[in-house]
Amino acid sequence: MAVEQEHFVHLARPLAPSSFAAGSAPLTVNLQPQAVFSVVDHAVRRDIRDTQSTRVIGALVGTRSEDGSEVEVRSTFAIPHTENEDQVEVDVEYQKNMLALTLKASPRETLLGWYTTSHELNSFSALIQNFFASPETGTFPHPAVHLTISTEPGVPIETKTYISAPVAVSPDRAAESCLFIEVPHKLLFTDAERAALGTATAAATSESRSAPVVSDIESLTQSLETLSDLLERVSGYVGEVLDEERDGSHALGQYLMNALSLAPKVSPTQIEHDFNNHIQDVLMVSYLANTIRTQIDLAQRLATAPLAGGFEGGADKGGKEGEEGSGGKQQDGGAGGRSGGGRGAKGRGGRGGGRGGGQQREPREPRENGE
Amino acid sequence: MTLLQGRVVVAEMQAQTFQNLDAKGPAPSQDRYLVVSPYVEREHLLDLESLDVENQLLALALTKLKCLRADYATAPYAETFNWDEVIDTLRTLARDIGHTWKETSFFVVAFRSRIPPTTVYAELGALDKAAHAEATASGGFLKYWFGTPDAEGRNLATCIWRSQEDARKGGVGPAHRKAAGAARSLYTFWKIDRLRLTIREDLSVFRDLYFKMVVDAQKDAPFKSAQVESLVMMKIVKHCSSSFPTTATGSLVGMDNNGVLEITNAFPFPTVDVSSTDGHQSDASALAAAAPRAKANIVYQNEMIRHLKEVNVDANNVGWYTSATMGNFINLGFIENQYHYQRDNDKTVALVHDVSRSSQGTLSLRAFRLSPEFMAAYKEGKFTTESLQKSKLSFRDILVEVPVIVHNSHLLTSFLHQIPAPPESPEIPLPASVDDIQREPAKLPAHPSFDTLDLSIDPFLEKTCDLLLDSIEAHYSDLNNHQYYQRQLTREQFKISQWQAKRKAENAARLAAKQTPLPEDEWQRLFKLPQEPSRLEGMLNARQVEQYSKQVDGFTATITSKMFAVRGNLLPE
Repeated sequence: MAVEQEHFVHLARPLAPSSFAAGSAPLTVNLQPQAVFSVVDHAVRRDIRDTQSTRVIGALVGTRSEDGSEVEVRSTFAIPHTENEDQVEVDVEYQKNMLALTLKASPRETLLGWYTTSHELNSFSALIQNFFASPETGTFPHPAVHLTISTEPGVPIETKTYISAPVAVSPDRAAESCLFIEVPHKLLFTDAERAALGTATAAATSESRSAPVVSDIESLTQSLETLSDLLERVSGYVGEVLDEERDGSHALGQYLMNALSLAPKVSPTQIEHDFNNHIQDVLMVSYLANTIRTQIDLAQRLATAPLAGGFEGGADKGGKEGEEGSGGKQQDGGAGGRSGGGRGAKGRGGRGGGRGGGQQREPREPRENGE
Repeated sequence: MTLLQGRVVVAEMQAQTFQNLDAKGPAPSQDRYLVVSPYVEREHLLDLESLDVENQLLALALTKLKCLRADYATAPYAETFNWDEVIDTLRTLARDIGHTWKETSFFVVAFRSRIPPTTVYAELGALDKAAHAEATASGGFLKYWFGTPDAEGRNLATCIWRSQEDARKGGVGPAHRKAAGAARSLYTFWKIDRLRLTIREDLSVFRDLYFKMVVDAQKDAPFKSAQVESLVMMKIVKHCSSSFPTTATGSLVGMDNNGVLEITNAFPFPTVDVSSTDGHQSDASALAAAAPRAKANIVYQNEMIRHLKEVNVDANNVGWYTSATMGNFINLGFIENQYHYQRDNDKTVALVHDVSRSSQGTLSLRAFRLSPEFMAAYKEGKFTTESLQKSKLSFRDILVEVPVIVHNSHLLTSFLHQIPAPPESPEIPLPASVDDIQREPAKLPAHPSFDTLDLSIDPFLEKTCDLLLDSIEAHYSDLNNHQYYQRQLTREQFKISQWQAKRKAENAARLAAKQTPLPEDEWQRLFKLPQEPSRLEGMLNARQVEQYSKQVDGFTATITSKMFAVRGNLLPE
């Protein structure tokens, strides 16, 4: 699901002289939140002492679709680099090692390009871009993606993605020049990540920038509160329209009608019946789970409870005086074993019912007795 | 902290720490700079005006610091130096300026190392000096001391810092990095101990100070909560959900900070690429679950941490993470992994991300560690009935849950406020048609999410029932094991008593015949009592069942309220 997508006109871009089919196809970049998060983290941890630039760079790692028209940035790693007026130094060795380490953990991913934390594109950018796009060390024949994220304080964080085409006024300057072409990108996240993003957002709205991981019931409360606020707002709007305080919108009215007509038409008895069935299922499972817990707890306690005298000596030493002791112990052990066996058998009976599909009916009977 | 020391040290240099000892006040301006290390140049001096009174006083008192033992390289830290004298000096200094001492903690780093005796030290000394100047500039560096390597090349260096934070800041610069790089290649062995020095006041003695030294590894204060950066959370969620249903594991890095374990980064462990047929899925899971303690992964982890350190990521391992389905993570493998980590470093935690439960809308991320009692018991490796009776260890004492707090950096907070982007003007233009609305549905913020309102009951119940039945099965087989053991034991004991009775009768006969009796304890050699099966499996199973039932309780709480809401909606009173 994309939460951030801007309208984008994709113009044909100049073809590279040695153009490959894959290299010139239109390209869409999908960013995963954790990639952006780790770029932001890197920006926070930057070391500004021996470099003159405030930006940091790192590599983008992820997957590329088969035809190369879509790339998904899944993770990133930081690369140490220093920049001065006339030279830029990138720790190539580090990049190589780190890439190998990252790919070892996720073998299906590849190097996609690089990121930096300022929107400025200069000749150093071109130099680094050419490094990442080159056949030996980079993504060739696919274009290298360049992601820029602005991390200026007080300014909204913007992301931009580029690919490049080689361009140069003279052959000897080819290494440090290239043409950056902006390509569309969107922030994508899966359902699994949505819950995590929700928690992160909850932390973002609090003063201390942190939030505890809440239990199900708490988050349900929060959701219900928000939901009732939203309903309040809608009914407020409808009320205003009815009172002619506000002009109604046909489209909104129609949309609301559509939404309301989605409410199912079922007979009250049917609802009552379904409701009771389901709630009984839930309560039954809860009841059984707690019963099993109590039983096993009891079994554990019995297993380690110090039983009548002579037991300890008999159990572990079985010494010379063990005759009487072992006799007594045998009885105890046997009793424990038998009761345990009984429990196990009971559990098995329940299992047979559950797997046989009779689960709904079978547990219900004891439940009714319980009521 | 600085990792190098060399023979360039001269005793006279240490002797130069005379300044200020007779001074009555801590900060007369002519004595603003204090010699706190063997280096006496301007950039190596401590600026007393940058410190508060407690730190000033300690820095002054530390000029008296002397090494008491010749075997300082290996001796216990607290006994190595003349702490009593330092504290005495501190007391005098504080009394002279009429300062009431407040309880303060300082951060102490002890660096123990070993160099091959043939190493040339001159270069190391220069590197060390540069690193020290850099650390001094970052502030809060109260004392630096180092010895000379003994005959075997062993040495001790120690730094005393205002706080751990200062120590961290002092150790991130390029000079320190260079020195540390050299250290790695030159030392055959090195070890860094981080200690906390707490100087307390005793309020019962008026105006006189009572100090107590607590020089211990910070082990005694376990952390109270785990603070997880959003980055870590997202990385874990991505890794776990992309490899679901195979188990995913990875390593966590971060640092312990005043009782809060800050987890600031994470990386996955390499997966073994089992040819991806479904039959091998369980193998892949088992391999991944065992990954945190696999040898190859320990190497991988160290390598990764070393690389991360170069880009200023906290370079301490603080545990590991794993994925789970419906809370089914409590098993022997989990315990072994956590033991493996916690044995080396007490400040480690296992983060468990429950993929199935998170897909219901609420993130399930929990942190666990092993209780100290269980650690001790597991070290012994004995979980017999007898030992459990003695230690009173029950299945509830195995794991300690640590509350998890999610934390964002400032920059990330501002980023999160942009997704989805807030509307530009307070007045939103009304849509022209229904299509308009459908084409661009309203973007709701991610929190609070409406996924939690989803009303799916059956999958959860089915899965829970299945898992519970598995647990019963496990419980049953555990019981069988024990019954088998009991039977074996009785049989053996019966044999022994028979043998003993026979031997007694024999001896009685021999005694009657005036022969020497045969030894009566030979049965110990002849018979072997069966080994009692470990109770650990059963305990873990009990803990697992407890986990399930709590989970069901939580589920019941939410689902019943949702169902009543639905009924109330469909059947208005």
